Amino acid sequence: MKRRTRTAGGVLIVVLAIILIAGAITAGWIMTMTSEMEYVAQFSESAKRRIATENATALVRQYLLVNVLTKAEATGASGDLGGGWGSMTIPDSAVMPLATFSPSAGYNHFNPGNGGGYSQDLYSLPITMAAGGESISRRFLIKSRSSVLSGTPAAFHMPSASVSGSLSVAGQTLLWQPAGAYTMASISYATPSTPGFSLIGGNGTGIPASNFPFIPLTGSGTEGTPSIPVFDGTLNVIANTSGINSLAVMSETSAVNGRQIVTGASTSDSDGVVSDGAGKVTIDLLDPDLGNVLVEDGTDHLILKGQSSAADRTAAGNAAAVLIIVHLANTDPATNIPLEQVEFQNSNHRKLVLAIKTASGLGTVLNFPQAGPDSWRLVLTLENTPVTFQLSGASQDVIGGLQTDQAVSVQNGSLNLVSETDPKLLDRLTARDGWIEVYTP
Amino acid sequence: MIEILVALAIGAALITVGVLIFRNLGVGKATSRSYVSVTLGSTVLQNFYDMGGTTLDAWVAPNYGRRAYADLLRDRLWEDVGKANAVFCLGRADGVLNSTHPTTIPVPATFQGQSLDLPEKFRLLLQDSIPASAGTFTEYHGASTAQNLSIFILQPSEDASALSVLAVYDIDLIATQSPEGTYVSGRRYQRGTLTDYYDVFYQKGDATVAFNPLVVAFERAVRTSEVESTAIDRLKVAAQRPFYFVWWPDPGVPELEAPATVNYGAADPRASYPNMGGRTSLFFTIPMFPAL
Repeated sequence: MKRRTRTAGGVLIVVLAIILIAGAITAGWIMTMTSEMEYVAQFSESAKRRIATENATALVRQYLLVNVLTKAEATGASGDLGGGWGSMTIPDSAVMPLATFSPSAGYNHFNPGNGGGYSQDLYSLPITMAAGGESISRRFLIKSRSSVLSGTPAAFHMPSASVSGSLSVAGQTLLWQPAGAYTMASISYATPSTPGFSLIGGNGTGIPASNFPFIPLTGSGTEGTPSIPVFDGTLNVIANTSGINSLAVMSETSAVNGRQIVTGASTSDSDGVVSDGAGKVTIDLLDPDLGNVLVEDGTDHLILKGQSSAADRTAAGNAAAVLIIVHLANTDPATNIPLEQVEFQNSNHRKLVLAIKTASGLGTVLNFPQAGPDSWRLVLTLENTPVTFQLSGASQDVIGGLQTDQAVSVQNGSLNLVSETDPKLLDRLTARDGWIEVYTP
Repeated sequence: MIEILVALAIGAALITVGVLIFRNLGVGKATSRSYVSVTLGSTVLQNFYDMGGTTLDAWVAPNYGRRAYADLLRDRLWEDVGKANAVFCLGRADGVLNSTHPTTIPVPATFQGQSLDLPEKFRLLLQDSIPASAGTFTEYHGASTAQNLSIFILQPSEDASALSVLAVYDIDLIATQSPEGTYVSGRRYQRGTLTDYYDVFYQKGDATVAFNPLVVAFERAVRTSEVESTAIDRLKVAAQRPFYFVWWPDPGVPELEAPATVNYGAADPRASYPNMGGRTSLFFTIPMFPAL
């Protein structure tokens, strides 16, 4: 009996020892698995925080697009998605991003401005953001530049731009409104989001749209009265009611030799600008005193005198850039005098922005009577003005480009648009597209 | 005796339940503390870690310590992407090592950044600007079938005539014979210097489906207007911004290869990466132009 009890006790001790060891192993396993589960939980938290950060960034970006980018001042705001999914607070601001002349700090070659243009840094506002209960920091920059000076010599805007005739673009074409007829040859093109639309290249094959991001751009639009869409590519830059991103305002503030206002209805002769009082205005682009010009109603014929000799072209190339605006605001059919013709004489090396806006919407002929051995240096902004390029039978190079919201027709030759390689002085005289960039500081 | 049997039964039941529960929670092997000496060759070790010799002691997957290293590298990648203005992922063929870890990439005065809208265009630019890179990277459009991956993270530059490189990530999968398996190395270089890395060794398993592709580049949907091929067109889905899917091998996963192939319709984007679902926790969606 004693021996049986002793044996049972020994077995019990062995069994307890086995259980103890197994328990230790199981406990170790549990600890490992617990660590793994904690890791997964933290991984989940980390993923949530990244999403919340993106949420907060998106909130700020949306606020800036709607309230700041095209405005002169904005009331502050705050937003919270709740549950730690992202929040932001922005104070009142009084910045005018589309009017700043602060150059970008550094070159982002990969933006709509091809690395150049102007930048409004909002770092000092300050914008506060939080994700998952922790504050986060992002640097928001509102940048702006003319699309024509950003490697896009041709920009076709809403509502009804189209092309007929022979147009060749040495660069990218920007198509806000792809429903029209486009027969040009272009190296590449960008369009907001229209699957199924394609350009045909010079060799008859399709050109794929650019794969570069098409982020919200002001598309040279600015708010006005009545309400005008900002981000759909509506062109509203020559004399808009807000005065922001307005060429008419720029022509006053950026004039080197002072701005003069001229009308073809009365005679005048000043600083290279001559009006005969019978509707004809002549502007000598070689005149050293020439400043920005605003041409008003009563003008039916505009002559731009270029340069006929190499020496003159060199001199013109060294002169200040000029902005010439033709704004015919009269909409009364009884008294309205349309701009019938703009005549481009010889060739031109002076940096020139020509902007034409006609309230009547009547067409204008852009006449290049001489087959230039040399090119025309010209940035064209055409608002509510259909144009016909009347060429001399040969191809005509335009160094700069055009943006328009109406039809463009090319007759009696081929028009070649080439990017301006030295746009420095022109940046201040052109209407801009605005967009937002975000960086982690 | 009855008490002993009861005690044994209770103990066995407890242990069995515990093992079953936590084995299921653990999804397979929990961890491994073993490491092996992997023969990689002097060229590889010199290129990867600037070290001599031909062998390297590497931890065997699954290994949570190595995964912690991988997590650190992942966090560095997210930090870098947040500061970047462009990201280009390039494939490299089996056995091709990357020695191109530049600080800047010269560009001509006529350079148009918007034209660099596909990884292949960046590869061609790199080849022109840094001729030594020619032959290092393989052409791809859509999904890269190359075994290895390099990620170039670019940042705004102080010089209009050069692109600035913030960092370069190299992911290499090297099949080894001694021992048989795959050695994986992920590394980050900045200004030509190795700053972070993770590595792990996967023993040869029974499965045969390789860990591939490592990157798939998605394009904007507007490009469907140009019909190219099914394999390319099915990846044209981005509304505004082109982006990548990127997969890195996960040291917490016991086997690199997958057991079976999932079939998708030819027009389904997933047909470009049918075997990559659930393979790794190191999966990234990276915009091609993060600042915009």
